[in-house]
Amino acid sequence: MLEKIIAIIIAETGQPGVSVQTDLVRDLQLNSFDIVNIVAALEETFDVEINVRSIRKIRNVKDILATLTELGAHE
Amino acid sequence: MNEPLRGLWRFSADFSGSDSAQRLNQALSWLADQHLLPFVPVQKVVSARGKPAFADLPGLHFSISHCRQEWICLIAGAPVGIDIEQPHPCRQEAITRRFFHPREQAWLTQYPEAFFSLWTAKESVVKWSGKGIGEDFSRFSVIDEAGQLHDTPNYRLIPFVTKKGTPGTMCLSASLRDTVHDYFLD
Repeated sequence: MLEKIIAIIIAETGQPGVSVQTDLVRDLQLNSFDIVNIVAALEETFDVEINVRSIRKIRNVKDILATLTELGAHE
Repeated sequence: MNEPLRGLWRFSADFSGSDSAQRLNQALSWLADQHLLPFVPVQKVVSARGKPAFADLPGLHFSISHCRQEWICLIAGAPVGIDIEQPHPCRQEAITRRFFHPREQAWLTQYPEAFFSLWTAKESVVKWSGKGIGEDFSRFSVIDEAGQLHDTPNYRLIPFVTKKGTPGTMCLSASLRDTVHDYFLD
């Protein structure tokens, strides 16, 4: 699942070099719209709905992985 | 001090991911150097909703946005919100379904090119209110039935374009005049 998440981030942002430690704002300079866009892509790919409270907490790839795991998302 | 700053100040700068706090401090230092602020506030606090403020200068309001390598900040003595976004390919339909009010969705069905101007308007409102993107984001519309940006008794929405050509929207408290003082930080 992590590889898929990373692939989605790379595809949506056009930025390579994303890892589980990547901070979306500090390392990729993403803003809130970029994160919303990534969330939309994740929701479509994993067929889940990520609630807004969880979206606000997303700072890095690890947060995304934890959120999707909590939602029971599968590859 | 209820209103430590007169006027509406908009600072822009080049940006890399880690220096937003530095840029804000630079803007505040400039205002203090010009004797427009009594001092540079340092006691940064963050509300439960994530809205930053200064405990040592509570009447000072600011809002920050960045898009790629561009940073912009609005500073005033009353609540403000600002958002910039360069139109680009994105998950527009999914985001529209999830985050926009039905009236906005209907408008975007006819005029999809309005997507980013509506997005920046909505973001500027939730930054102005301090609520951020939350459950209420899709429950309010920034446009009226004719698709015009909809001011309220409490705020006005003002579209603008940065010097680098990035469109955005400012949400200004009704008490603030429209005149914006622009300054570019080195």
